[in-house]
Amino acid sequence: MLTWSLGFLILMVKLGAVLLFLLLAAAYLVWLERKFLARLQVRYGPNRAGKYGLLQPIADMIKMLTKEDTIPEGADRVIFLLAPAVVTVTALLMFAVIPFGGDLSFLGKRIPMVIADLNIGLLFVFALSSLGVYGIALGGWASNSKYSLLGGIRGAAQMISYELSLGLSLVPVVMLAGSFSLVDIVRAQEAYPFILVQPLAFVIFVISAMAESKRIPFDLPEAENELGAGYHTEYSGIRFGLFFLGEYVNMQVLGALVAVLFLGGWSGPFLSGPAWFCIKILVVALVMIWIRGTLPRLRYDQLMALGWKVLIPLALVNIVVTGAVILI
Amino acid sequence: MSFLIGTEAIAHVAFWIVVGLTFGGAVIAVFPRNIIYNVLGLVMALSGVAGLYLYLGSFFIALMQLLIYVGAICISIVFAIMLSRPLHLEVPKRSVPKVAMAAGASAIFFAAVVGVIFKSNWVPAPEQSGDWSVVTIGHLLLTRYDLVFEVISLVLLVAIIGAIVTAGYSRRFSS
Amino acid sequence: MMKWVLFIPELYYVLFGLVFFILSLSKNASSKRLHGIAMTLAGVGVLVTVFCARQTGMVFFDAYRVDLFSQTFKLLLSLGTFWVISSCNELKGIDERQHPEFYFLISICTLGMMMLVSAVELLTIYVAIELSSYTLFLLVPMRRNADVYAETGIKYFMVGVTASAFMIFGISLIFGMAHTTYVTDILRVLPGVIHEPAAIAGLVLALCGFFFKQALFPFHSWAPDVYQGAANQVTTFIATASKMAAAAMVIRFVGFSGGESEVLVNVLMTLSILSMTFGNLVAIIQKDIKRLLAYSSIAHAGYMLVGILSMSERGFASAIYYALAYLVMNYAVFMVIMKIADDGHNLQIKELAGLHKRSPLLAMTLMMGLFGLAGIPPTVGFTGKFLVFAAALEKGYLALVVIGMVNATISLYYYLIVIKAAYLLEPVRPYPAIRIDAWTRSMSLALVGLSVYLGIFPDKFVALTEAAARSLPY
Repeated sequence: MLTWSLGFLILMVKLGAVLLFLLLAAAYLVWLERKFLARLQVRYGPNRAGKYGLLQPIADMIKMLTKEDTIPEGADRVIFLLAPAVVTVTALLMFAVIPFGGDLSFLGKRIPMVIADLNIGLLFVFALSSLGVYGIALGGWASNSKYSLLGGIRGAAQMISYELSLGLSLVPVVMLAGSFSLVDIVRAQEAYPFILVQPLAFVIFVISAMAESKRIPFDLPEAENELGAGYHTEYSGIRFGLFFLGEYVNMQVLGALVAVLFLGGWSGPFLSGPAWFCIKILVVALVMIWIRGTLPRLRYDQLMALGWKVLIPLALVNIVVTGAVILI
Repeated sequence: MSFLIGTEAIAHVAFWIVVGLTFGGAVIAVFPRNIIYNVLGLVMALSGVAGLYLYLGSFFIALMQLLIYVGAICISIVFAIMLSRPLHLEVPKRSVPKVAMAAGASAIFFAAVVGVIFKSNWVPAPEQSGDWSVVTIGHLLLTRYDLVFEVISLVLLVAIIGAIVTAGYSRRFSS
Repeated sequence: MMKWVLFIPELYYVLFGLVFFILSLSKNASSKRLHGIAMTLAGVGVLVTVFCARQTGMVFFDAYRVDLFSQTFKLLLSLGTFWVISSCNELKGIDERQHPEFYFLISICTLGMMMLVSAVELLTIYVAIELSSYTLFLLVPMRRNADVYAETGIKYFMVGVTASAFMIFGISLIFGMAHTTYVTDILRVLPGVIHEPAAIAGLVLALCGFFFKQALFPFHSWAPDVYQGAANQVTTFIATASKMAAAAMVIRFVGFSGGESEVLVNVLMTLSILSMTFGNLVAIIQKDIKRLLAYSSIAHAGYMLVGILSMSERGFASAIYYALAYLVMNYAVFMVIMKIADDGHNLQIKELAGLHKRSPLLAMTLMMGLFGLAGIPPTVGFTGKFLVFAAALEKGYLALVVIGMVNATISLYYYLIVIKAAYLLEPVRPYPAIRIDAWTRSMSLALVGLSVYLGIFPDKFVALTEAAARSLPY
C-alpha cells in the first residue's frame, strides 16, 4: 500500500512538473520565436513588457484569458467548443512517453524521468498525433465560415499525407534500436546518435514533422493572406489560446522527438541529462524558426507532390536499404 | 487485501465505462441526422473497442485500433464529408415506417443472437495465451497468418486503385 | 520449407495483374493491343492451371490447401476468365481509358477467387472473398454513362457489405465454438458441437457471404439490377466465374457440419426452395434479357444448393458438375448477347427477333445454351440437374426434388419465350447484320459441341468431380 501511494505521488509530481514545464516553455517559445524572427527580419520584436519584452508572454496570457469567448452564429456549438481542447490535449499527452533524462535516484528508489515508459511509446505518439487532426478538421468545419472550412480541409489533407512519411521515416530507427520504447531508443544511441547513420530518415522526419505542425513553409491551413487565419479564424479568447498553445506544445514534441530519435536524447558530456535534452529541443526549435524566416510558403500541389512523390518513396527506399544493411 | 479488491472493482468499473462508450458511440453513429455527429459517434464506438482490447490486456492492439480506425479511417470519412454537400442544407426527414422496420429487424436479429449465445454451451479453449506482445503478434503475422497479411495489402491496393478510378468517373464524364 | 511451386497459378495471376497495373500507367495503349495481351495472358493462365491440376499439398503454414477440388475449380475459373476476356475485343460498354484497369481488376478478381477455393483458414477465406468482392464492386459501375448506372454500383456494394458483415459475424461464432480458424481443426471439432445453436448460427451466417455471391434467395436483390446495370462483359464474369467460386465455398462450409445437422439441412432446403421458386416466377415477366438471366441465376443457385445440401460425396460431386454445366451454358448465352449488343447496350428480348436469319450460328448457340439452362436433354444442363436431383433422392428428399422438377418446368416457359423470339418472331424494324469473326464462330461451335458432349458422355467428368469431392478434407 505504501509503495503504491508513493508511486502514485511520484507520478503526480512528474505529471505536474512536465505540465508546468511544457506550458512555460510554450509561452517562452512564442517569445523566442517573435524575438528571433524579428531579428532575422531586422526588427526589434516585443520589447515593451519587461526587459527584452520578457513579460510579453504573460501579458498575452492575461489578454487571452480575459477576452470574450465568442461563438459565431450558425456554428455547431458542441464541436466548436470541443475542437481546441482536442488539439491541446493530444499534444500534451504525447509527452507522457518522452524521457527527459536517465533514471534518478530518490530515497533508494530508481525513478525514471519519464511519465510512462511504454514498450510501444512511439506508436502511442503516432496514435495521438493522428488524433490531433480531428481538432483542426472539426474546428474548421464547426466554425461555419468559408475560411475556416478551407483551412480545416487543407489541414486535414496535409496532416494525413505527412503522417505517412513521418511514420515510415521512423521505421529504420526502430529497426536499429529494436524497440518502440523511446527510452530504449535513446539507450541504443549511446555509442553514436542515429543522425549519423540515418541522415535521410532525419531529413524526411524533420520535413514531415514541420508539415505536421503546420509551420512555414507548410502553413497552408492558416495562410494569413489567403484564409485569414484558416481553421481558427473564428476563435477568440482562450479557445484561440488553446489552439495556439497546442501548436507550440507540438513544436516542443517535435523537438523532443528529434532529440530522442536522432540526437541521442538526454545523453551528452558535462551537463546533466535534462539540461542536454532541453538544449537539444531548443536547437531544433531555433532551426524551425530560422526556416520560417527563410522559406516562402509552398503551393498546395507542391505540398502534396513533395509528400507523396518524394518523401514517401524515399522513406520506403530507406527502409529497404536499412533492412538490407542490418541483414548483411 | 482490501486494496486488491479495490483494483478489481476499478477494473470492473472501467470495463462498463468502455462498454458504455462503445454502445453510446454506436447509438450516436446511427441516430442523429447530422452526419458529422454520426462519424464522431463512430469514433467514440471505435475508441471504446480500443478500450476493450486494453481491458483484455493488449495495449498494442488497442493502440493500433486507435491509430488505424480512429486516426486514419474515421478522419478520412470526416475529410470526405467536409468535401461533400454543404451541411446547412435541410436533411430529408426519416420516414417512420422505414425506421420502425429497421428497428424491428435489428431487434429481432439482436434477440436471436443473444438467444443463440445464451442457449449455447461455450467450452473454454484448452490452452489460453495471455501473451499479446508485439513480438508474438509479429511472429504470428509472418507465420500462421502470413497469407492473410499479404493478401490484405493486395485488397488495399485494389481499394486504392478503385478509389482513383471511381473518383475519375465524375470528373471525366461530367466535363 | 515453402513449396512455392504449389502456388504457381496464383503467382501467375498476380503477374497478370501486375502487367496491367503497369500498362494502366501508359497513356497510349490502344484497346486492341490491350485485348491481345490480356487474351494471351489469360490463355496461358488456362494452360498453367491445367499443368498444375494434379498438384497436392499444403502451403503457408497449412492455411492453403492445394488438392484436386481446388485445382478443378481453379481450372474452371481460369477457363471462365479466358472466355470472358476473349469476348472483350469490342469492349464498347466501358470507357476506353479504363480498359487497362478493367483487365487488372478481372485478373485480380480471378486471383481472389482462386485463393478462395484453396484457402483452408477462415481469415484467409474472408480476405480472399473480400478481394474478389472489391474488384467486382469496382467493375460493376465501370460503364459508359456511369451516372445512369451509379445506383447499380451502390446497390451491389450495400448488399455486399451487409453479407460480408454477416459472414464475419458467423465466422466469429464458429471461432468461438471451435477455438481455431483452421478448417482442418474445425472439421475435427465442429461436428461434435454442431447441435449447439451457436455453431449452426455461425455456419449459416458465414454462408451468407457466399450466398450473396451466388445470389441465393435472401441475398438475391442485387442480381437483377447488377446484371442489367453492369457492362455486358462484367455481367458475364459475375454470372459465370464468380458464381463458381461461391459454389465451391458453399460446398466447403456446408461440409463443416459433418452432415450431422438436421437444422442446417432444413435451413438450406428452405433457402433452396425459396430461391428456385422466386427466381423462376419473377423471371417470367422480364423484358430485358439480362434481367431474365439474373432471375434465372437465382433459380440456378437454388438447384445447385439441392446437390450441396445432400451432404454426400455424390451430392458435392453433382454440385461441382452443375457448376461446370452452368459455366458452359451461361457463357454460351452471354456470348450471344455480347455479340448482338456489340455496342454495349442492354439487350431486350424483342431485339432478338429474326436472329436465326441474321446469324443462324448465334441463334443455335443461344438455343443450346437456353436448352441447357432449362435442363432439356441431351444437353449438359439436363445431366447436371439429373445428377443433383439423384443425389437428393438418394438422401430421401423427395418433396424437394418434386419442387425442383416443377420449377424446371416453369423455367422452360420463359426460356422458350426467348427462343421463340430468336426463331419465330419477325423483327419490327430491320436490325443491322451481325459481324462474327472466326474466333466467335469457333467458340460457338465449341460451346455447342461441349454442352452436347458433356451431356451425353458425362462419365469422365463425373469421375473427375467425384475424385475432387473425395479430395475434400472430410
